[in-house]
Amino acid sequence: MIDKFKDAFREEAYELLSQLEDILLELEASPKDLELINAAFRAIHTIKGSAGMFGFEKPGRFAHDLENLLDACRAGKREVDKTVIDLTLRARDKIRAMIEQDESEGSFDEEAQLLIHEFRAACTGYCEDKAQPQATAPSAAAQRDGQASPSAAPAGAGGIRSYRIRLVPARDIFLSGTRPLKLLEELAALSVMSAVANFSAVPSLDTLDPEACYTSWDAILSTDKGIDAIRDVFIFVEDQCELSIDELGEADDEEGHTKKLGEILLERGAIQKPALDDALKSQRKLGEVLIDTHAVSSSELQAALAEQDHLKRVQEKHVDTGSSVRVASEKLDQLVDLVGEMVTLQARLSRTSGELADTGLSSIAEQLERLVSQLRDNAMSIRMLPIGSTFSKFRRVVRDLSRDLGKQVDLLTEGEDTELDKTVIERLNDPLVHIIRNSLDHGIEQPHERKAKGKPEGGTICLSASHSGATVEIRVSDDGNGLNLEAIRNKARERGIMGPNEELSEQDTMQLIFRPSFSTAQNVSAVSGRGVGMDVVKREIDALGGGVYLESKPGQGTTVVLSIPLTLAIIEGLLVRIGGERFVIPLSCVEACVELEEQEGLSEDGSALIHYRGDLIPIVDLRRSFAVPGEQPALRQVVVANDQGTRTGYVVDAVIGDYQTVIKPLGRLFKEAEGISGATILGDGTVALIIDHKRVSEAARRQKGRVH
Amino acid sequence: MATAKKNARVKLHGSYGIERAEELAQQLKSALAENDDGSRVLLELDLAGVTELDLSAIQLLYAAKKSALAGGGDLLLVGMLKPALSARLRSSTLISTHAADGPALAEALPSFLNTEATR
Repeated sequence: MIDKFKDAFREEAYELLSQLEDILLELEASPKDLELINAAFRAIHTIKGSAGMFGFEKPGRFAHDLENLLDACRAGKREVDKTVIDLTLRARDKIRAMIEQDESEGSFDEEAQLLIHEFRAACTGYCEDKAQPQATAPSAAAQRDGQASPSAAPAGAGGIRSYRIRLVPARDIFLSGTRPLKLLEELAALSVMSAVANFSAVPSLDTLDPEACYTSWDAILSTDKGIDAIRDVFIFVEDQCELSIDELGEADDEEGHTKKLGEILLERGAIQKPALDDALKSQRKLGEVLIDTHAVSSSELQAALAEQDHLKRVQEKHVDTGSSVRVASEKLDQLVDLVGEMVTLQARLSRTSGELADTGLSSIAEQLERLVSQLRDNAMSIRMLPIGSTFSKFRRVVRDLSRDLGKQVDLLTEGEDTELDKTVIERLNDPLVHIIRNSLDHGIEQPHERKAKGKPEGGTICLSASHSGATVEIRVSDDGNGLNLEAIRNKARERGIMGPNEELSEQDTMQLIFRPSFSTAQNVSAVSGRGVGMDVVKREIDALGGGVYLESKPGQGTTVVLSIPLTLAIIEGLLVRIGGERFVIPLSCVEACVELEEQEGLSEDGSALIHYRGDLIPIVDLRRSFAVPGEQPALRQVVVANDQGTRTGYVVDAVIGDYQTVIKPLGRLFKEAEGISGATILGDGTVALIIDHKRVSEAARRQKGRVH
Repeated sequence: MATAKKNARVKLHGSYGIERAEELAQQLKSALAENDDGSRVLLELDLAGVTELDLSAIQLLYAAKKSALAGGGDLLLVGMLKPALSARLRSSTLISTHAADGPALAEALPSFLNTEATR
């Protein structure tokens, strides 16, 4: 049980620490940004708080000293300079290490002590060591300025707190012109509120003073504005009413448990424990029992019910807006596998129902098909994550490395919200680190060299991601020296990879750098040069079913292009027939299906151009490409596919329709088979090949070039 | 002697703020006072013409209900409500759901239907 909490804490802490890193790097660029300073402070503060709670007393203590330093920056007593950022980054790493190694208590090691010493030195003259820095409530002025106040969000999620408010206006409150309903309205505007007016004190008409107030209120209010904002509402009527405001504990614990009615009644002091226990013994609804036995007045009960309801709502809302559910990724993998099986089975069902021609059955099959396709999209989307989280990690890598190497390098990122399968993103991490290290070490030159070449002293590495049909392209480009092809060739000859008189094309030569322990670096540095990195890149990307390509211009820089399949285990495809064979074209690239008119006959090599919407597009006769035997029908169809604005037509015998395609990899034997990216099993158990649209259309375009 | 049953209907009009509390109290009292002969009064309060009910007026509804019940009768809220009235009551959190008519309002007002007779 404790371990479970510890794990949860760890996960949360890692998340916060990586946020902190991002914040600090941003802060380095704009050190005056108070929002960022506050955010950094809050992150450390939260880690400190929850570390203490989960028995990580040591990182908590460590964070405390760091917090003092950030607090001084936040209060404007100290400038955010390089020292602060460096120290905080190092401390961040240290905290992470402490949590990783489960160092919950004991004394600090040398590194930690040194860091603490440095914090204190950095603080000297700026701030006094406060035992409880969290007690420094932000001034009302700071709140009015709209700054996030750290005390409003102590270790809690989202900073939304719930308060129980009891308001009993004085009898004569009406006479002073105060309208209690107005106050309630104002309070409701602050936040999510459930209020229950209690009219039980209202006497009968005979004894009632029409101008006296007999009503009191119980309210539950959830707000992120803090208790002071609530008090402000009552500021002018404080002496005319009894007011109590209690902060409620967290509405939910880990299990998403909501408080039971009995607990709430007890907390409110509406009932004593023995009476409650008595009532709980009967098997009826607690509320009914309590009312029947007059243990609780109906207004008390209503107030308690309203509180329960309110807490539930706030909790649900909280789930809606902020938090998420953590699920082990194996569970997701299982889900996707099962959905895949289901899709295949569903295809069989559709087929069988079609053969039976039973209208009842086919309507069920159709409904099921719609459901399964929604289920599939849903299951796939759960696994998709924006790649941005990975990108932001590299900012730290670039920053630290470039400092070590004495270079100035900026990292630009683009397309952070490109979504990729979670497992793919995780596996991309290592290759990208290697590529970036390589670019930094070998690609980008020292500032003086750059200056001599007329380049800006600071280098740039650009990390970009974009969708390209069924693949995602990740490009890492630097504006460095480019690959030295001659050096690579020489090295290859030296190592006997290339014969002395052999010549290799540019791309082939460049691909040599992906060979194991191939390096042209003169010196092996701490960063790179051992010839291990790019080899890892190639292997990892191959394993993902992607490709690595290089583009390099001497003196202008190198771009490494990773082409990663979306690994959508299941895609939407268009099923087509050629002779007795069936093929799947990914539906994402299909633009239209048109009839092939006979006069647009194909040339000898099976390629030709047709007119399509005022454009001339190359067509590929798949019957010829795949050497499908059989009689060619008189009327054939062209499936127009679009790849990043360039259209290609595929000539097929017939278009069958859309088909949910579970991609099955082809065996090793077919790895080199061009134009096919995989296979799928159809409803009748036969196999259909999936057309690698990108490759085929490229080939067609090359041919088109020749035709012209 | 079996108590006779008597229906009474009071129509309310306009805005009921603290300045009309006394007036409303009298009006309700006189409507219920007729039960002195021992007959039970079923008082129907027609809220169709009401534009606003202040807290003082709402309190009076509770008080009148208590008195009516004590006399063996009851007080019912009837009539379609002006949407603005319902909205107003909602924004001041007196009721938490929209009330289209009198009976709906009676249900929405906290514990109104559970009011107990008080002399």
